[in-house]
Amino acid sequence: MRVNKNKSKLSPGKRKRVVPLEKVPAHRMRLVFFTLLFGLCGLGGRLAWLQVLQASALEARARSFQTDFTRPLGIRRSIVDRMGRLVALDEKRYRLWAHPRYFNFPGDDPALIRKPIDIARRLSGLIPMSMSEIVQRLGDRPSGVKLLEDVDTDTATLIKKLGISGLDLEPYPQRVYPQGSLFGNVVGFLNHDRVPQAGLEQSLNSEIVRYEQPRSLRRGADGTPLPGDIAPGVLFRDNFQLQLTLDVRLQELAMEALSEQVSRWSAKKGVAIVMDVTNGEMLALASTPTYDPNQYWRFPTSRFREWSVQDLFEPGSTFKPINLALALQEEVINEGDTVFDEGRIEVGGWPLYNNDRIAHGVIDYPKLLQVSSNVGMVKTMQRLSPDLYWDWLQKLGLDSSPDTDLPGAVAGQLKSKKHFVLQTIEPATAAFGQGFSLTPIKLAQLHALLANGGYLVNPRITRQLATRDSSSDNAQILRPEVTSKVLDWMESVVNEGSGQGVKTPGYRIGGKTGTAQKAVNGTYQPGARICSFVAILPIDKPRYVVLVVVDEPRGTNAYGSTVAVPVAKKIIDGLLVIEKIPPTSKRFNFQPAKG
Amino acid sequence: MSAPSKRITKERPYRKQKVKENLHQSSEKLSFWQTKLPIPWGFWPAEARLFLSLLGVWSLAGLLVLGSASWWVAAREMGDGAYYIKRQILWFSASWSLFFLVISTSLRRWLKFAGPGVVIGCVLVGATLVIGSTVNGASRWLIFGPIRIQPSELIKPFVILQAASIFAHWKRINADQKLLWLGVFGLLILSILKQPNLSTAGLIGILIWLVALSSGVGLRSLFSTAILGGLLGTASIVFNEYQLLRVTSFLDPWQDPQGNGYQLTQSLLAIGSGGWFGEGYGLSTQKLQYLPIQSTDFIFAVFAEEFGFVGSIMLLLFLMFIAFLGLKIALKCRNNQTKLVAIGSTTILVGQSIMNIAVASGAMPTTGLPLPLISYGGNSLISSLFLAGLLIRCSLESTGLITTRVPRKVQKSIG
Repeated sequence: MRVNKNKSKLSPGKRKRVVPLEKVPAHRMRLVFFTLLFGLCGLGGRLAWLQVLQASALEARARSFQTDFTRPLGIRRSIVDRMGRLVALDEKRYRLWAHPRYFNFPGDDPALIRKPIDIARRLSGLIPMSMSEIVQRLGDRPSGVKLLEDVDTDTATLIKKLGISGLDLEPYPQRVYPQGSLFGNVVGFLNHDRVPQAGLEQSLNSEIVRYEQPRSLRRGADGTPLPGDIAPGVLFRDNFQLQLTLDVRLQELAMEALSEQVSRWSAKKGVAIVMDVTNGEMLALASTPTYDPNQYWRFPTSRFREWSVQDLFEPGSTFKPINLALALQEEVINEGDTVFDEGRIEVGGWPLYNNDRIAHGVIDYPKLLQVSSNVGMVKTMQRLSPDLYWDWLQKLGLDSSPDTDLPGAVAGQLKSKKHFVLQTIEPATAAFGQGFSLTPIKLAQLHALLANGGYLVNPRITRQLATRDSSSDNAQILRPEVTSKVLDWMESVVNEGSGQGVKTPGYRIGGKTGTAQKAVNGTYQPGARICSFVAILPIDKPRYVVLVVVDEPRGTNAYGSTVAVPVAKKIIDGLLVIEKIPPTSKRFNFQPAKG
Repeated sequence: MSAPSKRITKERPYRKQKVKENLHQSSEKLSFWQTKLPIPWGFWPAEARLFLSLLGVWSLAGLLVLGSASWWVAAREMGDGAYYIKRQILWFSASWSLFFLVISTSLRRWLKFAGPGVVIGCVLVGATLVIGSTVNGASRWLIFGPIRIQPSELIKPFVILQAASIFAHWKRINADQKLLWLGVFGLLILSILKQPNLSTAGLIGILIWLVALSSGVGLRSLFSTAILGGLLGTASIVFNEYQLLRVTSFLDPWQDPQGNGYQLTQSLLAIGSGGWFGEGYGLSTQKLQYLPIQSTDFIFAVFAEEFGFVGSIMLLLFLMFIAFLGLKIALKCRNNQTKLVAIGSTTILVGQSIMNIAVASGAMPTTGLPLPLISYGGNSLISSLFLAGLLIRCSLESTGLITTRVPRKVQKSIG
């Protein structure tokens, strides 16, 4: 090796220019060491800056793109009828956003920015917009152009397949009511911002909104979730639905019959209620006129409230069976008793007449109901002390709002006890269902009380976990023998009286018509009537109350029997089939129906 | 005053002889592994023992850090999370075998290989310019079957040996010798620059310069060389757009965090996320494909995110201790060449770590230097353990228990 010139040190005398070997100086090596030390200390300072002073800022910055923040979409539960048919559901829709500065087709040079016209050419076949519309919408804006709303999932998939960079599909839920206007009165609707505006959507909002939490999830750059710091319960999902007690088929049938009759009689509005007397479940709550929650903006806001729950009316004759039951319960009358109906009676200086102004003479209670004698009722209820009568009316809950899940239920109106007791005209008019007011729902509840043997059941339209039947609500108010007697009398109304229109061969049905005068601000309006009919069936094993109320039918022949009974008949026919109620009464099985 | 000094001079050969006798006698009782060592463990200088232990710790810790940094990406891209670790372990066993070869071989013999080694290295580096495989705009590798050779990495030990052997008696060799080797070194650095690999070129340049510095070469010539080298580096940066971009993005990486500043900003975010105590081993988020080249050049960012400021400072203290041990060994060495080899090896092991960490923490422009014994890569491992071996050999030879001139005899006397 050439370097081995240091052999020369062995024989220093042989060469002339010999430089003595100098030892490597220790201080130079220390200098190198300190250079390294200096570098390491500098790094220590740099790392202290990054990891101590700047740590929180850098970490926040790192988390901001590592974390995927999901805002809750506000998905709402579906609403289904008693058989599970969809009444309201959330559909996934997409908003199509365009960002022209990123426009690029798959396979393009990544640096290339496509012109809006190229995008429009590919999109125009898929979305309901023409090429020129798309180009016009895009304009010169670099990004954030909302091209289209309400894109359905199929179209969205097709757009995604194009793989165009710069197009962004933002999912959002859209509330859809497949039954249209059928349940509008009950279910309500959401406005454009998905804020519930009416019906169950509003009253049960907190239960309908699906449990969702904003969640922040750290992800790897390839999208892999890192559930390390996720809050508990954030990923919880359930698929609960809100189930109604209503039946779509019955509701549809009731709605059809009701609206047909309402338009024939040019009435203002009408409602048909079918209630299960054993538990207060409503099988139908059809109301007309109503609105389509899918297109709520086309309808006047006055329709968004359900009048059968929120408006009061004077029930008239349909309240008579309840009065009779009270009299029987207090044993002021007996089954075979009779009253003398002279067609006119004067109470406290006021003359009171029968509707038809006919004197029916001596009549028993079934006859009283059949002819709907006001005079007979006044005389009967005069046997009950006004004091006790008022107490009973209050006990029935006339002046308190029913415990129900129907949105916006209001209490009825009852005169003060003092007024009721002192003014003899008050108990007298109350005897034939005037002078106080209640909601159609309340009336249905009171007839359910007759039908189920004396219990007040709470009307409801949803099946929920929470029980609303507390023990006090279920207290027996009337004796069963009293109610069954009244039911027998009501059956005679259908068989022989004003309710013959619902007579159905093979079935025992009880009923009572009503034609009430309508009072506005305390004075009765001439010609303004409320026609109603209530039916209880089957009498031998009462299960359903059907109530039809029609407000202000026009025409001189507008009575409960002509306006409300035909609707009830159609509903009863449908109910018997849908609920598969077997014929039980052998009396009619082999006889031809009378008229 | 003179009497005790006489006694010492008298005692010395005696003591040495006695130790050698002990050495000879004890060799029969030595275990198998002890016999494989150049001298029995018990006679190793404290620095050498400590350094060897630390080297083991360094290697194992490096494997663990690499495991954490590479597992995810290996699982995604290679379908096997252990892909890189397995290969690294293979390279480690090769490197450690080389390490034991190095410590059992006389330094004199290595010094003889140095000249041809540097020349062959130069040729291989030249070859990369012609037939090298190009990654990231730089052609640094030669591919031999399954093995990728990075000559600029492997040449480092030979550069040190050669630099040591020249600068050890710089003033006594002829001008043509000086000129020849300075020319070779210059050529080497230029061809590495041409790859282009500014960082390795810079590292080798700085290394030679530091070896020269320790050897006691005049400060004036040293500083004029430094200025020349600086100019050369600047020129390389200015003329290579790829390096210029890196330097400008280093000055303000946040200006273009999605483009040229991407690597550095991701690395800074990783290091910053670590905070005081880090996320914990294996829990780095940035390594999940946010941080590029996370198992080689930016492995320190993963380490810093997982172990925090405390971990980083521990690593720096560890490196300081290594540097200190290297200095100790160098100071104890008996001749100029071994001193320079020792200080040079230390400088590479510690200096390259410094540069790598500086790059990852944004204190230096982004360059492709591995972190010794931690980053994935066989060439770096071979080179690093070769250097570590040289350092220990220097320490062992400083005991005087090994005859450096006739290595065969020594081996016989032990084995």
